[in-house]
Amino acid sequence: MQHLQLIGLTKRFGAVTAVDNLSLEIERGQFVTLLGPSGCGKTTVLRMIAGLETPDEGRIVVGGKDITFTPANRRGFGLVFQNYALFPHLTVMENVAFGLRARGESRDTIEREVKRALELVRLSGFEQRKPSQLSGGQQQRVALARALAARPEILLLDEPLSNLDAQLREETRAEILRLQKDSGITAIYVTHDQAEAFALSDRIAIMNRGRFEQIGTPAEIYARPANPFVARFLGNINVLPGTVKAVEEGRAQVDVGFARLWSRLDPAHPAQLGQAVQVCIHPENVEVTGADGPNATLVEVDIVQFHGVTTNVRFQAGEQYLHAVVLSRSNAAALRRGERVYVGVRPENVLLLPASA
Amino acid sequence: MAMSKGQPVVEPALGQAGSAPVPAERTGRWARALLVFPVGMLIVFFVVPLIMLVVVSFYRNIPGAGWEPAFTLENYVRAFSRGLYRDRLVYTLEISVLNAVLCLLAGYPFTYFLVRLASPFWRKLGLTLAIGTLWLTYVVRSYAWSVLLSATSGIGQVFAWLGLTDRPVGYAPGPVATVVGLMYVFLPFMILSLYGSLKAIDPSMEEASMNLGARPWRTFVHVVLPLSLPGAAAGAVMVFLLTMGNYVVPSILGQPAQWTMPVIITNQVMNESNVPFGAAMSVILLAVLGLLAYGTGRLVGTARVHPYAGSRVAVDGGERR
Repeated sequence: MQHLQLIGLTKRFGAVTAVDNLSLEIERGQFVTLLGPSGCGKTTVLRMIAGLETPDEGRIVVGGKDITFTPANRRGFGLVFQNYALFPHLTVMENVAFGLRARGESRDTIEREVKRALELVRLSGFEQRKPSQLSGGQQQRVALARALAARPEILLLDEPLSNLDAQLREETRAEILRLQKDSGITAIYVTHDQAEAFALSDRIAIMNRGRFEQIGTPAEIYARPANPFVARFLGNINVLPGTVKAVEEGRAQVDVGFARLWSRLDPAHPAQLGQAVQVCIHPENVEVTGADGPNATLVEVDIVQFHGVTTNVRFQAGEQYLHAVVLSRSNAAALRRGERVYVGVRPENVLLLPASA
Repeated sequence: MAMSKGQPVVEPALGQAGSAPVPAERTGRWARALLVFPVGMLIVFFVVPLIMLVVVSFYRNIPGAGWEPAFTLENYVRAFSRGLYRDRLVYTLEISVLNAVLCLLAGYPFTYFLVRLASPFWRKLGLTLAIGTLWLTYVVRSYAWSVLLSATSGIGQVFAWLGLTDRPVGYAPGPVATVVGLMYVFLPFMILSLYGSLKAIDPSMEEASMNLGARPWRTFVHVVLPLSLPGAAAGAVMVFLLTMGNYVVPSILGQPAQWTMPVIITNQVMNESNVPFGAAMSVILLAVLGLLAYGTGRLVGTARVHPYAGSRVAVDGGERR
């Protein structure tokens, strides 16, 4: 069931179009992430949903009701700010109770709901503290409790983990996921961190320059990035410029400079002879073959980085780098800098993306 | 020359304790030598006159012939026993409180909307216009108001023309002119204090409040107002203390009924030539001011423990520059 619909949303700041004709549908109970580099307009989208910005064009529909021009205080969405925006003059309890009080709930209800919200974020006993007496992680959880206490229809999160250190970030990420799954609330999450987006989301919308580059499940997006921007944004996926040199039934050969690679074509993405493309190869699909063969090429080991379970190997391939991720207990992890080895990629793992962007 | 040579040596030593490149002994000597200047200034221009004031306040006045050294309490007895001087002190306190309240009531909405202006240009222009009146001395501004509020050529004419009054009324000198003049003169201080305070409130505070369902008025009362309180308190205290010590405005725009302590003191010294009595009243006024400054300082001080108030004070100073 559609819960939230963004229809042709556009927002301009002066001459800059921050959000450009965006449309998105979000189902009830889904966790959707807007993922993109800073300045891509993702926060502006969130602020428009929250009612803190008014779109120049387009509509926002919630449960079939147009709320494009509904004031923020009548939307009933909980927003967790990047800087938490806790009220410094109020205690933890007063912060969490703020929304319930604004709604004129009874004293009993407020007490009960505040208790529930603080239990949810595991901060019982901190009621009388001021935000300044809490650690960053605790403040973050108060912000979450405050947003959840009034039982919002939709939970909006604006980079809520960006001010936490790595360890705490991972823990809080799990907390947020648990809270969202337990309550079944529809959540929209904004981040520039693809690991966060992958870990949390049912669906991800990747944004760039005010537009969506790709919308899909984390697995879909990772397996088949729609374009080079998405592929590059997802981390160390290899993106190599190339030219289509041969097209046969179901496959094509591309010249990437240091090698000619066969790619298995799927019907949705045909290739034309002479076409300029970007070749996308996931690092886990780069195999050390030990011998020459089809789709194999001789490369030199440049850098080896141990990461525990996996080891990252960067190969120098002609003018290009080729990134590989191998299991640390495999033979490939024992490579030394300067060694020359054959690496290969299976044709089904060579993805051809349009050269633009 | 010795000063300009000495400063760079001392400054880093004071700034980063422990890592000073200069031997501690030498630094200490320099620091002590440099202290002579500010301490000397303080003694010559503040402590000595104050002691003289207190000493003279115990001298005996000889009508028409100056005073003679003595140790008498008669000046203080006179100040406290005569209803006139007690009333003047009470009146001074009253009008100072009134002025602080009026400046707060007028300054708060003005500054609130000024801070919320989206364009930095208009914001800065507004602030400059608001505090620009400080470029003129009190005396000029007070005389300007005495003309504006006069029966012959001022606002009274406009009121009469509009039919609000039967004939032109003069307000200066008088209570209206005194209040208007004091407010006009001290409002910029209130605006400055409030501006830093309101400007320092993160916009996300109001957004969070709205997001949680609070209407604009509720947001104002429960979020903006409490967060701006330290600035408002500081502004009110400043206006109050400045009004208490002001001589020019009530003497130009007031009738004797509006004369405050500083005017009475000046009269005693300049017209009555009763310097000891003027000194005694000065000491009393100073004592009252000191007590009030201490008391309100403690009040504002507690507010400052607040993490927000601290940052606000810093921003406040930054904005002014």
